[in-house]
Amino acid sequence: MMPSLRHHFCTAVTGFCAVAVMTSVANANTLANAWDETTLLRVEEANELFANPKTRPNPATAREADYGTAVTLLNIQPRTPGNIEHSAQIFSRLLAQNPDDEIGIGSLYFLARIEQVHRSTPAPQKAVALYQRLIAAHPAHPFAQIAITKIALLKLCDAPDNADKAAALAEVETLIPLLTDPGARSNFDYIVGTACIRHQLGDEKAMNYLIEAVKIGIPIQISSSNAIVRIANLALRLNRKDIAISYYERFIRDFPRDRRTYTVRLRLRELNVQSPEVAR
Amino acid sequence: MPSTIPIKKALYEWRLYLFILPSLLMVGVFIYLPTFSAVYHSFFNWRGGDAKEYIGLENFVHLWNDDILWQSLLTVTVLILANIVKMLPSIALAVVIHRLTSDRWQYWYRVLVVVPMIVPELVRLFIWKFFYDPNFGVLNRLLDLFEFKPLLIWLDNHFLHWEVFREGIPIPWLSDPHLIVPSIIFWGFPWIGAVGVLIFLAGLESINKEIYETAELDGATGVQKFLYIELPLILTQIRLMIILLVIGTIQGFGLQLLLLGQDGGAGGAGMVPGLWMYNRAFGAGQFGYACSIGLFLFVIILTLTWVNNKYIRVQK
Amino acid sequence: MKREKILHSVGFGLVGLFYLVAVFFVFHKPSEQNNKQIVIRIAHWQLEDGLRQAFDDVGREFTKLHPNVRIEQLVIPERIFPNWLITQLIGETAPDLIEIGLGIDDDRLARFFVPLTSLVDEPNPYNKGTPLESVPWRNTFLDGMYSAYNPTLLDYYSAGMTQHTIRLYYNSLLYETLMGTGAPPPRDFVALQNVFTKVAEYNRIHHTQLVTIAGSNYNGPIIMDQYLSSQSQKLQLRLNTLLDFSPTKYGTQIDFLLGRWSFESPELQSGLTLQHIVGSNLTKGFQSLRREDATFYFLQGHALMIASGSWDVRTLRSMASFPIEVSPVPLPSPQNPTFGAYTLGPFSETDESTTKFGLTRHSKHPKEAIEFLQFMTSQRGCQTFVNTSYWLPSVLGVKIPEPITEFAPIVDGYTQGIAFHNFGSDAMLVFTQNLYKLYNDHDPVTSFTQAIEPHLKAAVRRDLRQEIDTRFRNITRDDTTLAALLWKLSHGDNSEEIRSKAAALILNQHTMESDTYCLKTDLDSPAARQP
Repeated sequence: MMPSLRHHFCTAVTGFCAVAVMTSVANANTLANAWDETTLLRVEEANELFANPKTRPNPATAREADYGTAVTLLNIQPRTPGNIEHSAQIFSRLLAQNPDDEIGIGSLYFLARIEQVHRSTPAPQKAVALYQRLIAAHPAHPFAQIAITKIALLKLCDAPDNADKAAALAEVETLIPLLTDPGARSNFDYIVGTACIRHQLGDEKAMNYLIEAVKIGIPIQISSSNAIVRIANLALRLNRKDIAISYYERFIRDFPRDRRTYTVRLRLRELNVQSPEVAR
Repeated sequence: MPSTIPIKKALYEWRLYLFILPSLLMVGVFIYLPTFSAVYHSFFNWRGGDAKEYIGLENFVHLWNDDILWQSLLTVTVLILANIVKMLPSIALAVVIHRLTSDRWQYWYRVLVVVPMIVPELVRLFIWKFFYDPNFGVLNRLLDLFEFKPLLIWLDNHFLHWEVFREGIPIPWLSDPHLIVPSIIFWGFPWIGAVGVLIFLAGLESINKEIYETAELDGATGVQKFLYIELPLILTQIRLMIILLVIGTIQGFGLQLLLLGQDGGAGGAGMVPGLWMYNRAFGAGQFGYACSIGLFLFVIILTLTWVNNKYIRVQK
Repeated sequence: MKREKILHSVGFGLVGLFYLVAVFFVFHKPSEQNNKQIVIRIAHWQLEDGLRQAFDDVGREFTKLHPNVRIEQLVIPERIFPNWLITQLIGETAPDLIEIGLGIDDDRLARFFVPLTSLVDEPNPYNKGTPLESVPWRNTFLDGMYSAYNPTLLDYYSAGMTQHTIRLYYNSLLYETLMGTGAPPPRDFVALQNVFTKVAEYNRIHHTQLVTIAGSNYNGPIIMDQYLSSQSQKLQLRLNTLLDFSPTKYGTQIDFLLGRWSFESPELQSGLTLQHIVGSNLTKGFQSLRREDATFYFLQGHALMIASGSWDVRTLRSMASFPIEVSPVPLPSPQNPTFGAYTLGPFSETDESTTKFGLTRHSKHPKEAIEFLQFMTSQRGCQTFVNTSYWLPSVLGVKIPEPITEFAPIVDGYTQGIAFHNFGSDAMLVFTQNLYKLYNDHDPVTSFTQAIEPHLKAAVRRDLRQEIDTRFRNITRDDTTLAALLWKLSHGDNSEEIRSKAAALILNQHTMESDTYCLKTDLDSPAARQP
C-alpha cells in the first residue's frame, strides 16, 4: 500500500512540477511571442499577448508584461491622449517599483520619450531633464547612450532660429566623455556633424565629427554615403584637397551605383586626379 | 391615426423575419457600416492605413476655414440651379407625349425616350469628352462648319473679355476656367432625362380626364392647361426630382473627375465638394479630413431636403 | 392548386439541381492536391503588351528546374489593385508573391509581408555558374537593392526585376516627311525647336492640325518637369547646404519659404519659359486629356511624338501602323545660347528597381515562392523576362534586348534640379490649377508666376506641416520597435540581425528627429511665415 501511495505521491509531484514548468515555459513563450510581435510592429497583437493573464503568474513576468503593455500602448491604434497617459502611468509605476533594473531604466527613458514626442503638446525641457536623470544614474546603459544624442539633437535642432547654437554646441560637447558605446558615439558624431554644417558652426568641426563617425561605422547605407560626400565637400571648402580626394574616391568605390557618382567623378577630374575611380 | 400592432401578433409569424435578415445584413455591412466608419474617422488624423490619431474637432475647424471647399459649394450651387433649369425639357417632353392623342405614338415616343438608358453612363461620358476635344472634337468642328466661331470671337472681344475665343486657335472647352462650368452645364444637351420624363408622365397620367374636359369647356389654352392643371398636379413628382437632383449634384463628382481630373481643371473652376473630398482622400491622403467633408455634405443635403419638403407645398 | 404545387417543385428542383452541379464542379476542380503540383500565385498590375507572356515565360523556365512547381499569375488592373489587395490580405487569401507599390503602406508591409533581410547578404542560388555566383543577392541589383529597403521597418521587403527610363517616341515615317529622309532625331533642344517650326509650317501648308507631341495629364508632366528641372540644376546644387549633392524635396520647399529661391528667380523663369515653349507644342488642352487620349492621337498619326516611359515600348510598337523610333528627351545643353546658362547636363538615370515583388505571410509555400522570386531576379530569370517584355533589367549583367537598347539608362548624368514634383499635394494643386496660364499666349510666364504667388507659400506651409506630422508618427512608432529590440538584446537574443536592426533603427530615428526639428524650426521662423 505504502509503495503505491509513495508512487502516486511522486507521480503527482512530478506531474505538478511538469505542469508548472510547462506553464512557465508557455508563459515565457507568450511573452517572447509578444516581443516578437512588437519587433514586427504588430502592436495590437502584442498588446493582447502582454495583457493575457497567463503572462502574469509571478511578479517578475507581471512586471515584464506591464512594461510590454506600456510600450505597445504608445502605438496602439488609434493613438489617443488617453492611451499615452495610461502608458505614462504604467512607466511611472514601474520606475517607482525599481528604478535600477532593465525595466526601470527603460521606463525612465520612455517617460522622457513621452514628454518629447508622444504627447500632443510636447515638453522638450521635461524630456531633457528626464534624459539627464537617466544619464546620471546609468551612464553606460544603452538607453542612456541613446539619450545623449537625443539631448544633443534637442539642443541643436529644436531651438528657435535666433538661439545661440554655438553655446548649445559647447554644452552638447560636454557629453562626449559619457559616450562609451562606439555605436552611440558614431550616431552622436553623425548628428552633431550634420548640425554643424546646417547651422554653420565651423566646417573643420563638422568634418572631424563626420570623419569620426565614418571611422567607427555608420549602420545605414544612405547615411554613410551622405557622410562621405559631406566630408569630401567640406574638405574641399577647407582647401584640404588630400582629404577631399580620398573621400570622393572612397565614395565611388563604396557606392558605385549611386546617382551622384558622375558628379563626384567630375569633381575628381577638376582636382586633376588620375585614379581608376575617375577613369571608370 | 395609425393603429399599433401587438407584439404577440407581430411575432406570430416570426420565421418571416428571417427572410429579411440577409437584406438587412447587406444594408448594414455595405451602407451603414461605411457611413458610421466615416463619421468615426472624421474625428481622426487618418491617412488611410491602420495608423490614426484622435484629433477631436480639428478636421471640422479646418473645413470651416477651407476656401476651396466654400468655393466648390458656390460652384455646386450654380450647377444645382442649372440642373433645375435643365429639368424643364423633360417636363415639356412629358407633357407633349402625354397630350398625344394616339396611343400608338405615345408608346413609340416612350420607347425612344427609354432606349438611351441602355447606353452605359461611362460611354456617354466618353462621348461627351470627345465632343469637347479642342483639336478633333465635334463641337469645335460644328462651330467652324456653321461659322459660329466668329460670333463667339466677337462676343469675347466686346463683352466677355475672356480671351478664349480666338481665330486659328481651337477652343479649349475643358482647359480654360471660363469655359469649364458652361461646358459642364451644356453637357447632356438637350437635357432630356429618361427617368425624369417617365416620372413626370406617371404624374400626368394620374390627372383625371374630366379636368381637361372642364378646362376645354372653359376655353383654356394649351399653356393655361399646363400652368393651371398639369404643373400644379405634378408638383409631387417635381419635388421628388428636385430632391434627387440636389442630392445627386452635391454628392456627384464623376463627371468632373473624368472630364477635368481630381484637381478640378484649370483654375479649379470645376471643383465641386465631392471632388474635393476625393482629392483630399486620394490626392493628399487626408482620409480623415475627407470623411469630415463627407459628413458636412450629409448635413447640407439633409437640410436642403428638409427645406424642400417643408417649403415646396403640394396641393392635392 | 396542384399546378401551383408542381411549379413550386420544379423551381425548388432546379435550385437543388444547380446546387448539386456547382458542388460537383467545386470538388472536382483540378487542384494542386490532385496532381501533387505546388502552385505559386503571383499578382501584379502590369497590363502592358507582352508582360503577361513574359511572366509566363519565366514561370515555365522555373517549372523546368522544379517540375513540381507551377506558376500562376493574376493580373489585376492598376485602378482596383489597392482595393483588391487589401481584401485578399485581410481575407488571408492573398497570392504568394505580390507586386509592391500600390496600396501597401508600412503597416501593411509589416503585417502581411515577410522580410527578406536574412537572405539579401547571401548569394542568389540561381546565379550559380554566372559571374554573380558568389555575390550577395543585394549586390546583384543595379540599384544595390536600395529601393527594396524600408527605412521605417528596417528590413528588405521586396526584390525588383526591371528599371524604367523616359524617352520621346516618334513616328519615323512622319518625321522623315517633315524633316527629310534620314534626318537624325532631335538630340538637343535647338533641334527640337526646329521640329516645332517644321510642324507649324506643315500645318500651314496642308491645313492640318498635326500636333508635335501628344500630351495628356499623364504624358505632359513626364516631359514638362524635365525642362523646368534642367534649368535649375545649378541652383539646386547651390541650395544644397548640407553638401551631399542630394537635395531633398523638403529642403527645396523650406528654401522656397525662406526666400532662398522663388519662381521669379532667373533659373525658374527660364525653366518656365522652356515649359511654355514645349507646352505650346503639346496637344491643346492636354491637362484635361488622359493617357489613352494621348496614345490614341499618336497612334492615329495626329501627333508626331509622344513622351512616355520604357514600359510603353511594346504596346506602342505593336499597336502602331508605322515604325516608331525613340530618342532621349532633348534638353538644352550647357552650350545652348538661350537656355544653357543654368543647366549642367543630362540627368542620371540610374534609377530604382521597379516591378518589385514581396512574399506574403499567408503563403502556403513560402520556400518555393522565395525560390521563384530569386529565380526571377537571377541573371537567367531576368534575361528571360526582359527578352519577352522589352523592359529594362534591374540585375547586373543582364543584356538589354536589341529593340530597347535606346532605353538604356544614362549613367553619366547629373542630379535633377527643381521641378513641380518636388512639392507636396497642396502646392501641386496650386500649380495644376494655374498651369493653363503658362500655355496662354499673353505673357504666359509672368501671368503664371503671378497667379501662383498668392497661394503657393500657404500651400507649401500646409504640405510641410503635413510632412512634419507624418515624420513624427514614424518617429513615435519606432519607439515601440526599439523597446522590443533592446529587450531582446538584453535578454540573450544577441543575433546579428537584431543588433544590426537596433543600430539602424537608432540612427534612423535620430536622423529623422533632427531633420524634422530643423524643418519645424525653419517653418516656424518669421522668414518662413511671411505671406
